[in-house]
Amino acid sequence: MKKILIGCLVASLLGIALMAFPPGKSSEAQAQTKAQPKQPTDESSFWTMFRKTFSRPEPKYKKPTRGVTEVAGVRGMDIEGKLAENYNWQVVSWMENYQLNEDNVMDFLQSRNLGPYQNAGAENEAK
Amino acid sequence: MRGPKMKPNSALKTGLVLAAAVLCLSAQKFDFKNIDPQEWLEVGKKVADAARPMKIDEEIQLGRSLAARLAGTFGVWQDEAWTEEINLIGRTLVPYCKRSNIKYRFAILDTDEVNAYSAPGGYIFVSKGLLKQTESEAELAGVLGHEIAHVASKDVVREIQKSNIWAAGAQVAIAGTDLSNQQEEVLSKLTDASWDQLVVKGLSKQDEFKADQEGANNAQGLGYNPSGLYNFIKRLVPMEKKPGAEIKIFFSTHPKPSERAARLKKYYSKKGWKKDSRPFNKEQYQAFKVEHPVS
Repeated sequence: MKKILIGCLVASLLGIALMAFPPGKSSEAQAQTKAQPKQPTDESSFWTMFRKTFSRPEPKYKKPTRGVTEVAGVRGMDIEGKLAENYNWQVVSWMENYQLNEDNVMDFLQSRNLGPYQNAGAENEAK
Repeated sequence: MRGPKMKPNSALKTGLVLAAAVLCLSAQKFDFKNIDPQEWLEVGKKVADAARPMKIDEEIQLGRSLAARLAGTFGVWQDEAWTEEINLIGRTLVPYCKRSNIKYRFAILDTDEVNAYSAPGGYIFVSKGLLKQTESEAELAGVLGHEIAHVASKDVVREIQKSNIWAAGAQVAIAGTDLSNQQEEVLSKLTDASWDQLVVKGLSKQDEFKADQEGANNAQGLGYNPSGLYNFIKRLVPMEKKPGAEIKIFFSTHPKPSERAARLKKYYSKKGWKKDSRPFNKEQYQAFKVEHPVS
């Protein structure tokens, strides 16, 4: 077991070495690489990546493109124009603007013993 | 007969060679030296966006779009008396549902198909065919309560959030007064997916059973007899064997009425609801139907 663990450790080290010096490069190319003056490693690039990964990136503010708005102030009119073939947006607006008369609502509830007037139903249930 | 036993050292060597080979191959495939932090960041952001919940503004935007498509496909019956009737029952049910902080809107689809749909954000439709099948206000209240429950539980939204379309487009917020082309495109795809979920595939059986229970609860909360929903579903049971054209979509998108009725019956007994303790308002409803026939 111990030997297997040692094996894994050695394999990992070997892997890291392989990543740093990937195989496939000819010995000539390696020699050239060695001959070139070593570029100073940019230490800050690691921390830039670290910060970007673990902190919220600055949002990209993009001004939305303005389409032709048929009625100012009404939500989604641009889309409504585009998808008008299969979509009935007038009905949606009608649904959104539909109002019930408050008196009618209270009359409805009272006449049927519903909502705040449901004592009659509750009494029957108690029986 | 036993085969040759491998020595521990040989095993270690073999393991090392194999591990080295695998690492060597992966190192060749994956260029660790040329990692683009920005690319990785974008991938990470997309994963995080895909997991984000849909905001209320986006849900309403999606609901509007789906509602417009339902209205455009089936047509809407804008009968004054019936529109008031379903809005009176529907809107007074809202305070008794689990999510009463959004506006619910009700309309009637101009089709003889028996069905009801609830789009995200509170856009609820019942069909003329369904109204013809109902016999009491308690039944209609149960059906509307069921649809309200789907919206309250965000059943469609939940399904959409599981989809690849949401995962791919979640970084684009679909809310706002003036959508960009990209936002429009995402909204269009999400509407298609919602349509598919609601009209073609249907919601999960569990969501339907849960909505039945919640629907009965909502109706009971308002003061109607919760058995209204049971009575309506029970009426559809004989149609299971030979469904007509007017109910085929309903059957393909919902569990069998017999199964739903059986489950509701169990639920009622669990809740201890008495059969005739609350009104069905059958007579008033029948009189209303005679006065305002569903043509």
